[in-house]
Amino acid sequence: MNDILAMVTSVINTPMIIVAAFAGTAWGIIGCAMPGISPSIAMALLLPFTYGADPAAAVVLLASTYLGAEYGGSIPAILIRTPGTNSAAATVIDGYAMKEQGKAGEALGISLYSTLLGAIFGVALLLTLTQPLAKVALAFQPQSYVGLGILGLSVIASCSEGSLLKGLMAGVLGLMIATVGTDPVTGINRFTFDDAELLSGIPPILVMVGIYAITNLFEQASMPAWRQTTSNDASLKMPGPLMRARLRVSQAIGCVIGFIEGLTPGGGGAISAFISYNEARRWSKHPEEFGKGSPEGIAAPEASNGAVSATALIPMLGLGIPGSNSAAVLLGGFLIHGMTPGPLLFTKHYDIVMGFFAGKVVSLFALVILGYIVLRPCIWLVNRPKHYLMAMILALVLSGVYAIHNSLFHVGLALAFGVLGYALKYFRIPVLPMILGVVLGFMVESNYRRALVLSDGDHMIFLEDPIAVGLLVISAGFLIYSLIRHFRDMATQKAAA
Amino acid sequence: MNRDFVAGLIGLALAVAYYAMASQIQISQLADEVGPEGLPKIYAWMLGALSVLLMLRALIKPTELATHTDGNHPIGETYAAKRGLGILLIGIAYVITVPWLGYPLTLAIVIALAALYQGGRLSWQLTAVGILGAAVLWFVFVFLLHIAQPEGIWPELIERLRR
Repeated sequence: MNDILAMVTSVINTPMIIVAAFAGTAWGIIGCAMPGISPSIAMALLLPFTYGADPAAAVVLLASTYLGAEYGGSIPAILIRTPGTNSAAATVIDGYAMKEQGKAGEALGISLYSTLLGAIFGVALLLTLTQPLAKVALAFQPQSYVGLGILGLSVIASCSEGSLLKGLMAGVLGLMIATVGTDPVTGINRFTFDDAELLSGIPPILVMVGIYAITNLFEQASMPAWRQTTSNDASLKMPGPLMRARLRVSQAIGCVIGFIEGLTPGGGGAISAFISYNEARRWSKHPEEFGKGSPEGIAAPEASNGAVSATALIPMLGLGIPGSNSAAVLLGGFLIHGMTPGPLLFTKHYDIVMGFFAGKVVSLFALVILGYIVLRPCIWLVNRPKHYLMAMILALVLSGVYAIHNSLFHVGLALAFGVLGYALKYFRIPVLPMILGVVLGFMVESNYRRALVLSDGDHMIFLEDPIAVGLLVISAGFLIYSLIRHFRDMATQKAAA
Repeated sequence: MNRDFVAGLIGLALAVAYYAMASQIQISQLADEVGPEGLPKIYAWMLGALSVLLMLRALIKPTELATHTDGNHPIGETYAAKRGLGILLIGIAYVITVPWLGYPLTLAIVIALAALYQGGRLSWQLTAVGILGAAVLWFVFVFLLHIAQPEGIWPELIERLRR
């Protein structure tokens, strides 16, 4: 009850939260209607704008972008058979088939309705599960934080995109980047090359903008212009009572799978969307319609995408562990404003977190309203020449990165991380483990060494703290499970070959 | 040469260079048992070991495509890298010129240049997009958000002309 009151108060005290929720949702829909702009890229592009904003409004802006993006990605998926986001790939199958049958408006309506239902389910879980998770973590000592950091790093095993070895390499590379700057215990400069701009380390936000936004610009430079739609007349048509009844089972499947995958680090929207699609077909009364324009084939993945957009934030807010690219960028938004997601977030920044939750609720309304309004501008935007859009995004990135610390050195650094991101993609090395290393590296090192100072160098301190032991056991379990899954997948691939 | 092998080689070189730099970190009288160089050295060893493993795997099981075949990119990865390089050069040109030409002018040039590079044609439309785009971003960052962007030589020049 107190929390609900705090949420309402935060919205009254900071009306910018409402503006941010609407603006973020609109940008998410429009941005991700452009093929090639993923939710994390759309969010990374906004990061510099959040610098001067109210902290609660800033994080609401980013989280609402994530929600809007999940619907926005389905617009080009349905209209031009090009998923705007990875998680919209499953929507292409039946969405485009419906469009070919002249039911584009109906398909878009099912997509919006299902994303909304999934998001409501996800936000309800976000509101109820995050705080208890963080309360448990309040009794944390430095050694517990080491355990937490290692748990976060163990996520690398499950987000290595098929190559554990490369994922671990990327993770270590991230840890190395996190060592740049002043040493957390002695204050000695490390890897700064006597440059004053590197004394405070490399801000994770620069790494994120470089790796996600700038790398994407480099990639887009060689991609052909996306196919333009002729569906300028597409208008949204929400499902009627009969259709809503038909979609219930597939939406429930999408919600549950989206919840589980959202909580699982490395799970992500694309995986859960495809699992939901398959399960919806298995449980459907009309499985033969799947692939030929089944409304359930749109409802299941879209409900899953909506749920993931909220539940993926639970481990990030409660434990400070970003399990997906989008959660990592949102974590960057918190860090910019001096807030470290994790156990102490609720005690140190209670008002802001409640404002954030309120903003998530407002963004649900924004999704419904903007889903209607923004559709036509989205279609217009998808039809704009790609070279103008890409040029504007480059200008936005250059301006935004400078705005973070008023430093051209940082603009150069972000460009360098863009090159690094391109190289990683060239060598098929996953980028999320590197981001995890950058974000968690400082926390792990500083707390590891503090704990050893407390124990006069005795490593047994890590086994004397029950929380640290618990987290290390979970990390080990998680690592073993990921390894088993990795080797099982390899065996399956070998057998298939 | 196998792509994974090259990645391993680069990783190994990076690990050696990073270890060498970590070894040169000053040891403080206040240093704890691990010291400021402790974890960096461990990271270097880890990266080195993982890189060697990747190289060995690449030699034993060369599953990746050779680098010179241009992989599975629809129009060739060498071509794609060259196209990306163009965008990088535009970015670098921005960093070099913006302290001289100032934010709005440099940005207008960058927008027009990037659009031209991405396949746009030199026209009044392209010029208009450059000017309008720069004006919109100047309005958002400088006017609305009060974030100072480089002014260039113009204020000083105007001051000199006034004198």
